[in-house]
Amino acid sequence: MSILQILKSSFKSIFARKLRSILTMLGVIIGIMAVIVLVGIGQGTTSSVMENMQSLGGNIVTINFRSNNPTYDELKTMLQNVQTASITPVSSSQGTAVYKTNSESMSLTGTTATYLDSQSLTLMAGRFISDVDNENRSNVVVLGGTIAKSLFDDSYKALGKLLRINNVYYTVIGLLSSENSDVMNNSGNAVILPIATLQKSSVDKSISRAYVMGMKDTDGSVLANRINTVLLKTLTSNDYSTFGQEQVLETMSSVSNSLSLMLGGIAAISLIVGGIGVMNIMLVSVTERTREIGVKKAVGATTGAILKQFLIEALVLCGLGGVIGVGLAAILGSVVNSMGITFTGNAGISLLAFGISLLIGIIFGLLPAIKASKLKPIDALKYE
Amino acid sequence: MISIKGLTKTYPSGRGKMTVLDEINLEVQKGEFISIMGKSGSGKTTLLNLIGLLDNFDSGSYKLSGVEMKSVDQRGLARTRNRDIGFVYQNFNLLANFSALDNVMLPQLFGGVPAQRARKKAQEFLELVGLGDKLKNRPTQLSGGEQQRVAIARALINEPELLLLDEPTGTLDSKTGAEILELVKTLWVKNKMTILVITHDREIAGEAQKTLHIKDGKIMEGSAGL
Ligand SMILES: Nc1ncnc2c1ncn2[C@@H]1O[C@H](COP(=O)(O)OP(=O)(O)OP(=O)(O)O)[C@@H](O)[C@H]1O
Ligand SMILES: [Mg+2]
Repeated sequence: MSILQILKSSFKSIFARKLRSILTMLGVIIGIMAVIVLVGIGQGTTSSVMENMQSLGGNIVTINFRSNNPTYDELKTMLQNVQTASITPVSSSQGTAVYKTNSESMSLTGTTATYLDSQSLTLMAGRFISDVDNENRSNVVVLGGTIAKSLFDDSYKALGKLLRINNVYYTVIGLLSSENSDVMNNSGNAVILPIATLQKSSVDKSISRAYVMGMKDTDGSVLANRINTVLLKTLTSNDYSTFGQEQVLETMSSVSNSLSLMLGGIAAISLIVGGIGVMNIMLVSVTERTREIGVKKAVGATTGAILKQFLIEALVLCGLGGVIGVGLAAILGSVVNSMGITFTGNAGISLLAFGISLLIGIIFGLLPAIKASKLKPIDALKYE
Repeated sequence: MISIKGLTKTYPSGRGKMTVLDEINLEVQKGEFISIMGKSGSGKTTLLNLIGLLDNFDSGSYKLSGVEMKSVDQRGLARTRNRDIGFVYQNFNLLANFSALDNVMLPQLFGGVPAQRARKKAQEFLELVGLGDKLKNRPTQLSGGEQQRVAIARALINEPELLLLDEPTGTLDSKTGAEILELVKTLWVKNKMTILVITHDREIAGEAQKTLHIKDGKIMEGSAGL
């Protein structure tokens, strides 16, 4: 028989056993769909998390000082040969704020205008502290939404009011939105003053932390290297530590990699389950098919011709199931996408899933056929 | 046509072996119409399966058209089954999921005949056995007699020199059985192939030129044993 004829007779055979064929294809379809969709969601989530992280500023290096803390001016001098977009100092101290009968103890952050950008904060109302505020050592303060609410009952009422912190009055000039507030960045409870104002009365002008933002195209790790090089000229590695967004990204990516791995595992299990389904159906029909092989051998089919027929039948069946599975996965992917979950199609994974289910179909479609075709025609005819 | 010498066939039985055919000899000339009789379990089907190359034998020699079948390989046996032998079974052995036409086409397709020609010929043969109007019917949509006609059409489509029938009328009522027998006789007269038919029916046996009896693993000619 020519390949075309075998193909035709395979289709005939597939259509002749509609239920069996549909069930077999279903196994393949479900397996492939699960792999593509789950891995797609895993990868989509990973890349969307990474994008979010990158938008937070991929090239900001945080310097935490432990000892021999420099002042803001000293740090600027140390970093003068490093190309930076901004250097944002942070000096912290404790304080108690009082408004009418409300009182809160809190940690105060003294910093500069660039703090807003380097921490990706947004204002809810008013303005942030400016360079002029620092020059003038103005008594102004920017409050986080949560703390403003607890002091002024309604956070919007805080704007323009005088707030007494450690017995000095400060004008509330801005409110931070607590929308981006999270574990790493508790902007809701922030109390931000110009660093010059905070350090006005204290002898110790050192800073505890600084955020250094690189120029636009500078890579985070390159920037960190440069900063370390210059800092180590005056400080030891015990005095400070640097922490780049890179490291956060690395942590995140390892988290989402294990997420992908887990989803991939689930997908692999579905593929196996689908494969077992295919196997079952192929094995269940083995009696019928063994008799069929017997009949074919009795009318003069060679073993080769029979196996070719079974192989092509399995290929057609699983291939068709595979194509449908990939198609459905694409549709499901766009549905998932429209629900707000990022889905990234992956040709490699799709191809792999396709190949595996094809392999399963061929192995379990062919194994019984190989066994049956080795029987004497009379034994295949009488098989039960 | 057929030359069998000292052929022995055993089946495994318990720990030992059961000899069903014990060094039998048989000569069949081309164009002969022979019936085979014998008690149930005497080995009639076993013999026909061996002649039809569906089974192997233990020892002895079986020559078909002068060729020793013991030394022919799998492909050669398939080819001989395809071209030279037509087999009709008591239980029809049709493919359940295939139409009458597809069933009859099968030997043609495995013989390398293009589908178009195979279909045309299958149609002719089904018309010949009186089923021209049931080409698309599946075996389940046919009566026993009709199924046996399909099986006969399938056995004959490659115009074999040897037609083997194992109780072709066994499951049919006597009227249908007589019709099938009439059909076989007509085909024999027309095509002059060699026919071996197993039967319990003396009437059918009487139509044959020669009747063989199998008893205790041996073959006897004529009405011996009756
Ligand atoms: N595959 C087998 N394995 C073991 N024994 C078998 C096998 N096939 C047949 N036999 C035995 O061989 C003997 C001959 O069987 P066979 O089918 O040839 O009988 P038969 O003459 O055709 O009988 P019937 O008229 O009932 O069809 C029987 O005793 C049977 O039990
Ligand atoms: Mg029998």
